[in-house]
Amino acid sequence: MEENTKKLITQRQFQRTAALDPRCKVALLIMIGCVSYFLNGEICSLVLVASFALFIAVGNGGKWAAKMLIFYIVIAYLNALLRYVSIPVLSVIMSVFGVTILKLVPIAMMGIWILHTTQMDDLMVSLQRMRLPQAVTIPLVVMFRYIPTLRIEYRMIRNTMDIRGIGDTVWKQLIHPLATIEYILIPLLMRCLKVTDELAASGTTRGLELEGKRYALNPVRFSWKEYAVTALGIVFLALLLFLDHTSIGEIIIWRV
Amino acid sequence: MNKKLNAKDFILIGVLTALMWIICMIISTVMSIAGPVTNVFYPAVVAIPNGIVMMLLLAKVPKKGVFTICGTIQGILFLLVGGFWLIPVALIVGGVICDFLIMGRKEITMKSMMIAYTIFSGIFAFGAIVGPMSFLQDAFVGAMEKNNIAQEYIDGMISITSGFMPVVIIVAGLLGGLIGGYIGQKALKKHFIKAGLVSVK
Repeated sequence: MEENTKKLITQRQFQRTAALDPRCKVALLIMIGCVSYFLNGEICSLVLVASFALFIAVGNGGKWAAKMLIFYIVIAYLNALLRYVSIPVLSVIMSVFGVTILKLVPIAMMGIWILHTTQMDDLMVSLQRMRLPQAVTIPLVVMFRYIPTLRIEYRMIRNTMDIRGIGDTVWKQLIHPLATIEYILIPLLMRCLKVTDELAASGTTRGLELEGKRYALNPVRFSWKEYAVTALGIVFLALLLFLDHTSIGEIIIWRV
Repeated sequence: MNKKLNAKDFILIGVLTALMWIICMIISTVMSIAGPVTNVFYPAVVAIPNGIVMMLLLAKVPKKGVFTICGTIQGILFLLVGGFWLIPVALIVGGVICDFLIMGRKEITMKSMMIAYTIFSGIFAFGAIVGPMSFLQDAFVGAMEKNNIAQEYIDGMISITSGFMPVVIIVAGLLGGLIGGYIGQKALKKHFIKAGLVSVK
């Protein structure tokens, strides 16, 4: 019995890059976040997206990476198309919209991949190894765990509202914004309180409150692999930033 | 009364902060796309729905440190999605100020909750809009110009953050916090206190 449980826990669900230490993935995400907004050249942004799509595709995320890459190319193309059209207000809004999405694609791609390929236990252990206090680790872990659930909860509330005919048209929602906030937010908060009780009970029985050092069956440590990936990431992103300021950054690839 | 935060409080803070952050992201994205005028006032608008969440959080966990933890977690998340570094700093500083200067040693009441939330939202407005736009305007504008953002948007952004507009933006943030706190307390009384889920003085 015990052997079976151990096997279940140590069984690796994710391979290669997905099995890296959570800290390493988060560090990469922060670096992408910093770099993505400062990359102005079109070719550099494309290289950034493409290379991290490759990185993700190696670790259990091939489909997701391909989807985001295609999405990026389509949006970039549409954005280039926009230069030839000029509608007074709309084209300004659309250009800002397009650029915002282009900047957010690499971050969203990486962030959602991390959410899907990181086990919360691993994240918890690795955060505690960083000597962060419980006041930071527990809310952070709960939060990462809860953000995907919020979407499901929201959809359920909308369904219930539709069934009862409350705020069922967009027009009704727009003329009563406060009522809309109330109808959606209050049930959501009620659910949050309920979920908190359940999570607290489940966490306490598993020893979430204990202050002592945790041991993990899955090895969670910053080994040479993580150091290598982080260093490569830094070099790669710095190179991109540098190339962006040279003439390469001015090449226009999205032509119509 | 036990003043120390325990695991259950941490979980509640985590869950509700997730909700607040999602609301913030949706509203800020929509408003910054809609145009420069709405962009600069997004902290004020965000403060209104978040007021309900924050009031519930403070009523449910009437202990010291809630603002600090909440601000820290939100700051880390802003850092993860590539936010400007001044936002996390403002959130953490605002949280500490609210926790230790305004809440102080007194028992948490409806009034102090509202005042603290108002200040918090004002500081957030400073960190999110006023700080970056007044100190780092050149870099910001340069980045926008290179990114093919339409010239009208950039001009609008500059004109709306010059002169005495920063003061207006911060005041709007404070006002948003006040309204949010007021609505939040009304919602709290109407739904949660009546149902016996929380009790506040």
